[in-house]
Amino acid sequence: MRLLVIEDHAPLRENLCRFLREAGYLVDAASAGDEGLWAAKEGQHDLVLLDLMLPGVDGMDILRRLRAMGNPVHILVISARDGLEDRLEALDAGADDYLVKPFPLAEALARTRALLRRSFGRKHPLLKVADLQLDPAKRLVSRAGEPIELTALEYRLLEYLAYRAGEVVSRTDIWEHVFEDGTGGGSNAVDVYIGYLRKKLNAGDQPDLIRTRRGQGYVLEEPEA
Amino acid sequence: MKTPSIRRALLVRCGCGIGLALCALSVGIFFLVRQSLYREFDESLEDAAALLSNQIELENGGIIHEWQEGLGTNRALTEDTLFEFWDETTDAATRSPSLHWRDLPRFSGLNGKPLWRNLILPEGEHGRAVGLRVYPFVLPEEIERMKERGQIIDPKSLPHILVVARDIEPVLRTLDRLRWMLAGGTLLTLGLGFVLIDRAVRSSLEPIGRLSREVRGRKESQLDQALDVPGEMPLELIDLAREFDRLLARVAAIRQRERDFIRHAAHELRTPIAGLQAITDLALSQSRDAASMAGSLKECQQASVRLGELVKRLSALSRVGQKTESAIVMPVDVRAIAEECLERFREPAARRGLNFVNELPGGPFMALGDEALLRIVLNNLFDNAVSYSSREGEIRLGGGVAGNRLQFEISNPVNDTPDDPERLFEPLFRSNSSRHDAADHLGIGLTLSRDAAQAMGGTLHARVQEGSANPSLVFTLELAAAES
Repeated sequence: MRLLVIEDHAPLRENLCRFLREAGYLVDAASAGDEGLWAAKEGQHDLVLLDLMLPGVDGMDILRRLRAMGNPVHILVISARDGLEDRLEALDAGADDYLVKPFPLAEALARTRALLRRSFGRKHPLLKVADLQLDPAKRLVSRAGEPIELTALEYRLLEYLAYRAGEVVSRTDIWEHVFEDGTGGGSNAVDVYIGYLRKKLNAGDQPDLIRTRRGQGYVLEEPEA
Repeated sequence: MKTPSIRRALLVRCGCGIGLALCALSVGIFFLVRQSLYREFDESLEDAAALLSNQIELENGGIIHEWQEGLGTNRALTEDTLFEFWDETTDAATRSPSLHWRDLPRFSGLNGKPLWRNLILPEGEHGRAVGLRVYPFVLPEEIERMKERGQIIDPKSLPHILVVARDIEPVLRTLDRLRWMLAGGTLLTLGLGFVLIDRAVRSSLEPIGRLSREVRGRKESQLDQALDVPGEMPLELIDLAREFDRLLARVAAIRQRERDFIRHAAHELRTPIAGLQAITDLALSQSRDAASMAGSLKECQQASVRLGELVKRLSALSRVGQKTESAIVMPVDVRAIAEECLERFREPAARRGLNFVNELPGGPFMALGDEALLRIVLNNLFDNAVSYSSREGEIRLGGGVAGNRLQFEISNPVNDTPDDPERLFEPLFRSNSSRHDAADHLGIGLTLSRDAAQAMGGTLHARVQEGSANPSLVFTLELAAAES
């Protein structure tokens, strides 16, 4: 999952980004409005955390411009403006949630997870595919009740596939939403990490849940009977 | 100490006034009636004395009291009146029958003129008497007879003192009754007056009560609202209510300013506090090594220092609009102070590619001002110019003296010009271009500067000056010029 944090206050931006990274997300950051707008337009982000008072382009402008160009990315506004009018204005302009500063990072993380669930059309906090179960809050994976140890990148890859379970996910999508820029040495890394995942998920000769669609990508789904 | 009461004061004052007027009126009436009754009484005494003075006759060389001879015809006179004659030549006294053997006091006015006196009558009653000198009358026949006798007696040689007295008790009783009637009437009128005055005062003060109830009944949310003044409110209270409304409006403005300040302060504090919280949340979110925790603590320290600075500025902002401490206005060299202040801004200006161009008049540039306040103004203006100027431009200092006013100007090129430069002086106002530096510029420097300029009896204004390349933002500080 790739997130974008647009916040001009350096201590908040840096620590929020680090916290989200430690929670397993890929995080891009922008400290000014124009930079943030460009990143939101060009990047493939699953969620944008957006401050409203920004140098350059105002946060409300970013919100309106993204919605005006049909960008469906979910946006969590983080702002010091706590007035009802401010909150209504932001939500009516297309924000998906509004968090007033100061806030505990844990709450920002929980809202991030909730918005990600919503963005993939899911309501249940656990992700289940056949006997595979992921708990995004605890970052735990189990299959047939047996816990599976995954690296951060493997987990991120599985979680992304699980959110999009039943859907063919292209290598490019996986590359953009799961891998840090430059990590793994190119798109071949996607196949390599899919291979790692398969090994760990199918350790007990269980049926493979990740299917390869040649020329299209991968899909996580229940095995055919 | 008893609380003064308008109602009580009006009641007492009006009551005392009316009471005094009634007393004076009653006393006046009493004395008028008394005078009238006494005059009437005295006239009756005088009439009686006139009648009696014609009752002594010189006949056959002796005095004859005719009333004694003709008691029958003068009975009414002798029965109703006490009188006594004294022959001044012999001191022989002749009394009216009703006096029996008792005497009346013998008196008369100067040269025998009538004189009235109050006295106690022989029977013990109060009486009033008139005393005068009378002379016996002589009939023409008696004069002829005296001529025949060769013995002519001049009546003037036989003067008599006549004192006529009458019982005055009926008059006194009448006056006594009148006194009681007047006293009763006065008290009754006074009592009735008090009741009527009390009602009038209560009725007049009722609008104050209504106004008080209106004020007392205000809810917390209505404290700033104007009073609902009814149409029939007296003129004096309408003025009072209007003054009260004006006071409320001022209170409302102050409350609004406080609310704005708290809102702005909370807003300004939220982001750095969020930053601080993010540092601690991140540090505590999992177990970390000592170096990582030390790094977090250092970040916390830096954040708390920045927060401290922010609180200091907010504290300064809270004082904006309050009475500035008395400025010590004296001749100051604006040029010297400006050049001194300028030094600390040369380096940050150079980093942004900005040059200072000093076009201030040569020599002392004297104004009446407070050096400490002037430094606040100039430092803020320089800081503002360096921070918000478009890169690689020129910050120009200029000015001059016109009449008794000195003008100091500082201009810097800007990319974006504010629609209304005067808004730059509003507390916490930040233009878009200022947001890049929001952590360092709270938006109160210019507000404080204008406050300081006004404390020195000067002004501080901003305007946009269109130039050939970039427009410039020009700040003009105007102070009273001083002798060089």
